[in-house]
Amino acid sequence: MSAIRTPNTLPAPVAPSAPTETGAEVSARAFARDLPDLLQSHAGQWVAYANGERRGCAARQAPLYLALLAQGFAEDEFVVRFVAPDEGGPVAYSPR
Amino acid sequence: MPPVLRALPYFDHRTTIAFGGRTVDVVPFQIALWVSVARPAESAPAPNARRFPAVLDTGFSGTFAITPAQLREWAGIEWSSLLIEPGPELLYQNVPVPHRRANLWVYPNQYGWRDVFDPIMPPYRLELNRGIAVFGNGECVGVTATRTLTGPRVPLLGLRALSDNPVALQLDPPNRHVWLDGA
Repeated sequence: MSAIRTPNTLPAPVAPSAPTETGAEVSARAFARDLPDLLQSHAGQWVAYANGERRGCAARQAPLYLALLAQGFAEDEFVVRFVAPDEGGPVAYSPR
Repeated sequence: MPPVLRALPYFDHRTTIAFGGRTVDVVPFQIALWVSVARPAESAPAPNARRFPAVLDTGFSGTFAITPAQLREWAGIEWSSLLIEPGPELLYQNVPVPHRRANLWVYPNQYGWRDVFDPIMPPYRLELNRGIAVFGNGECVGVTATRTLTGPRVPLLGLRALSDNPVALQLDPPNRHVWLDGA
């Protein structure tokens, strides 16, 4: 007669928690995603994204920034970006 | 467009600028102007904003580069108090440098003078799409490799900063003057 054996199981692996993205980071990604379309429709304007959603556009940055603050968004929840090609990469720089 | 810089002179010889108990050299043919660092929510310079010189460098393709020490001692701002401005990585000397959320105030000069301010014209806000780059002086500013970077001797204002604003820049080389108008 065989003994009943308790299954020898290992605890489920715990996935390392991903670093939490801020609303600003989510918004920067949303802006980058939308940029090709924005270059067609809003080139030369500023656009505001909060928590990944587009919230408005204007000719200058300041009105959008103040409007988002007035709506209760914290500064790390949004970005206000100028609609122009934004490729990143090397910066031409030499110390002077 | 109202004027911001009117016949701002640059020189064919070395000059010095004194401010805040220190002096900095400006080498021949460098264009120096006066700025302060602004937080984006400001509608006017903060009462304690410190003006300091920066070099307008059209060969610099960034917005504004400043060392942590300059930001601390010249502007009175700790780099860590400025939010990181997320976005595509910008590389200085092949090192990714986090950009910090900030704008600049540019101080109008008195016509024909570099280091004398116009008493009437208000400062002009340069809105910086990607904020400012803070690095140099052996300090780690969020990315360890930034310790290795050589920071600017005097903060640099690059063409990218002007390109995101409704401004018109004119150079008058025969007279060694710079004009900047801003809407």
